[in-house]
Amino acid sequence: MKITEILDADSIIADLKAEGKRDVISELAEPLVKSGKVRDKNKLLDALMERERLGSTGIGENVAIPHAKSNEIETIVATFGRSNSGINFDSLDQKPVYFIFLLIAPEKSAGIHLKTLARISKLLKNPLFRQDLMKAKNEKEIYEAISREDSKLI
Amino acid sequence: METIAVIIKDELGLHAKPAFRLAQLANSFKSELLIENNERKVNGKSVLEILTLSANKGSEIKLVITGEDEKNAADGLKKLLNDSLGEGNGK
Repeated sequence: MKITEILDADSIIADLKAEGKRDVISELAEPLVKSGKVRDKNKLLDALMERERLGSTGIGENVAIPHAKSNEIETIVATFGRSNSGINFDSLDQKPVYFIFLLIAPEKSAGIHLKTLARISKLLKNPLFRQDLMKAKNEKEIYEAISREDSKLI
Repeated sequence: METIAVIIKDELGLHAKPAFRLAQLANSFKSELLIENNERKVNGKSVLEILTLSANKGSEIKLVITGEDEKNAADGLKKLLNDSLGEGNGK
């Protein structure tokens, strides 16, 4: 599975404006609402925040992967946001978060979920790719960087 | 060097939450932690690294702990694995 199969070019935010965790997650969920993939945004936000309550998805190394399940979708969908100022996400290493992948999976999706997390992690642990992401000027360049790096993975 | 072998029992595999707990605990010790799955070895103090293993239910993983506090680290990690991660409660 490729990241570009679950991440649309218009589901990328190059400069997240929100600051608090819930607001950031809300900003990241917006493209899914706009595209009609998810209708009940409040329910989605509640599910995402409930997951954060059980343990932060700020997994360290400036990365967060908020995620939840939704019965409104049939395949896993993602949005990506970059913060240029850094967000306090209660991360494992207390470092600010610059890269956020928001993942919404269908109710029954254990296998795909793990594979998606693995693929995103493989991308983001590469320092050169992270530099590319930071340097990208806009959404289009971020999408191109992700596509390029993603196509290198098996 | 201390080693712990464990079979992942969580339905969802070694996903974000258990990976976070594992790395969090590992980071509280000085010892290095390597996690092996299918001959791949990753740094157990990094959630990003752990998640690249994509260790699903039934996977046999091995924790290798090396350092001055390896005994304490191994005891702590064993307890975490027994209490939650190994028993499917790490969701």
